[in-house]
Amino acid sequence: MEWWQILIFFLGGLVVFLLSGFPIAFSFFFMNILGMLVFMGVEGLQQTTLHISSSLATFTLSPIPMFIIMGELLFHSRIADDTLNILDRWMGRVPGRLGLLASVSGTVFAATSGSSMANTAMLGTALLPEMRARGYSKSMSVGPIIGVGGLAMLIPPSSLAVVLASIGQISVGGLLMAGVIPGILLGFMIGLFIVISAWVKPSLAPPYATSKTSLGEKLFLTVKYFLPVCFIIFMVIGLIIMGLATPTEAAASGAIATLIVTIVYGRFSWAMFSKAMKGSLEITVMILMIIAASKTFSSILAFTGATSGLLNIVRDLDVHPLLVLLVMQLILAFMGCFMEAISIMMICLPVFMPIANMLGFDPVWFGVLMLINLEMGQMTPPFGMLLFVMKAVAPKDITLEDIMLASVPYVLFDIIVIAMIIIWPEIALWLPGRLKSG
Amino acid sequence: MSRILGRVSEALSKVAMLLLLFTTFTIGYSILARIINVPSPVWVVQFNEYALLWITFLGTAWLLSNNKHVSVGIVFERLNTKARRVMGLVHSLLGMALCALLCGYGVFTTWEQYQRRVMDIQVIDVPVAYVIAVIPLGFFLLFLQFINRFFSILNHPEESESMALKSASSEDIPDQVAANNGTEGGKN
Repeated sequence: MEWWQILIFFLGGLVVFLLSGFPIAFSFFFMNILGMLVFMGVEGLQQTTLHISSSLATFTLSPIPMFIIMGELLFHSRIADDTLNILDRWMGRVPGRLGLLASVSGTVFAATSGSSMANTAMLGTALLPEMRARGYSKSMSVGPIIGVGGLAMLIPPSSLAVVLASIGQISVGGLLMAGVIPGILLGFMIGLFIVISAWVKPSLAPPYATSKTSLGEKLFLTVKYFLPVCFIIFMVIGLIIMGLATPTEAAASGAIATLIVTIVYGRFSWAMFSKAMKGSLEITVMILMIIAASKTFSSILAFTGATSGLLNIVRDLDVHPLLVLLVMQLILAFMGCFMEAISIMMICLPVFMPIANMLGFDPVWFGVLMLINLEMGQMTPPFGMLLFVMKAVAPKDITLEDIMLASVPYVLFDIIVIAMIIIWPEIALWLPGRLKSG
Repeated sequence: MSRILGRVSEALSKVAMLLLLFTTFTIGYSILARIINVPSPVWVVQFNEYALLWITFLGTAWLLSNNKHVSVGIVFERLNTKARRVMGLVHSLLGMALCALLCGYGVFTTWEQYQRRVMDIQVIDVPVAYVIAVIPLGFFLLFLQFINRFFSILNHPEESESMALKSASSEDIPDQVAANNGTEGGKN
């Protein structure tokens, strides 16, 4: 069999299984079994158990469950509500006040939780009713929330960044830190866009009188409710930047810090804890099963020569590496319209990473571009996950079409940031560089 | 069988949750030990690696019983009830065959490693068979869950909608929103 026939066999077969609705993990396992039987014989099958073991029993995957525990604890303890409340008091009378509040709080929450769905649902539930009651347009109500919702995937603690780093054999700490500045940049661009839009066209977000809070009270509430969130963020991002902890250690300290904050603030109950642990286990097992299956998939692709065949073709193409990069980004963006992030990651990484390495791309830089693209895929129609999350929390008068239209500017911001990182890689690589030198 | 399987899966999921806490606190303790200049336990990294494997395979059957193994729903969700039911049966059969095969090879490999006394030489030498034994166990429970699912869809066609494997689409969202609203469940 030629390498391209093998590649079509594997990727085509996988896509058929996935589209049939068979769970992602089992689809990968099935293709692995077929591939082993066809190309390696029974000896290959005998190696499966050891392959699974070596795929999962890896310390680099350890941050995944702990980042998830952190997000679940924050989500179920409703500590974020207090943060939202205090940020609201600091906003004053800026144009597009509630939209700006969504962008600032969304960026802050992204630094405490790895779930973009939870981030979007939480902001949507908390802010949408008030935005609509204050006469905000549909686009100004829904757009900012969708725009910042996805940042959770980019700014640490991001479980998907750990998965991407682990499968793509990229430095976990490097990739986590590389997402910080692009994430903040996106949050800033979204905030700026909201203020300018509301300033130019006030009917989008009519100004309204807010209740006065004295500076003393604001400072007191900030110390009381915002500092704990800063403490959690510090325990993850701060410790990694300062070189005091590895990503796994930072994840553990973040999870423990979150647990301590829930206890200190009287939000701990066994029911809440049990719900958070159940949620954490569900997501952890779901992700790790997919990793167990897909790592073997990558090995089979390499063993059969499909990967090297593809690499030879790309090497022989007389085109600029940037063109290859753009094609890969377009493929990711296209797939993002139809599939969710983890499937795309698992299908594309075994093919894309060897190409990226061969072309001499910095793996951390390439990983960040991929993460932003996957984040963008969550809000691109027709199947962007965040569009459906927003529909589920939005009032009845907001249709799916309204939500899709509202998300357009924020998709453009993602594209702009991708372009900026391609042109100025330092945007993504400066912080990981500091990490190495520190 | 369904009830016993449910209880076993539930019990093993509780063990997996304890292992999740074990990983978090042992790593947390090792950081604390380093800060206060106390020797940290040497086995932390090694046993956390094993824990990841055990968490996955202790929880996987429970996850299937809760319909939480994520899948792609673009096509599946557009099928009518009958087609979904057929697809659910086909998926269950495929799942049974796959898990039976992986369980069989898992038992074979584990037994072989046990007989040859193969050790994972790290800080603490651990027999590989003990580490990987959870893999055939997980696949065996998955195999039983797929049988359970097959007969549930076959015997209760009206339940085929909910028994069909869950897709990664809008169906996930009510759970998230319900959790956000502090309510139970979320199927509405």
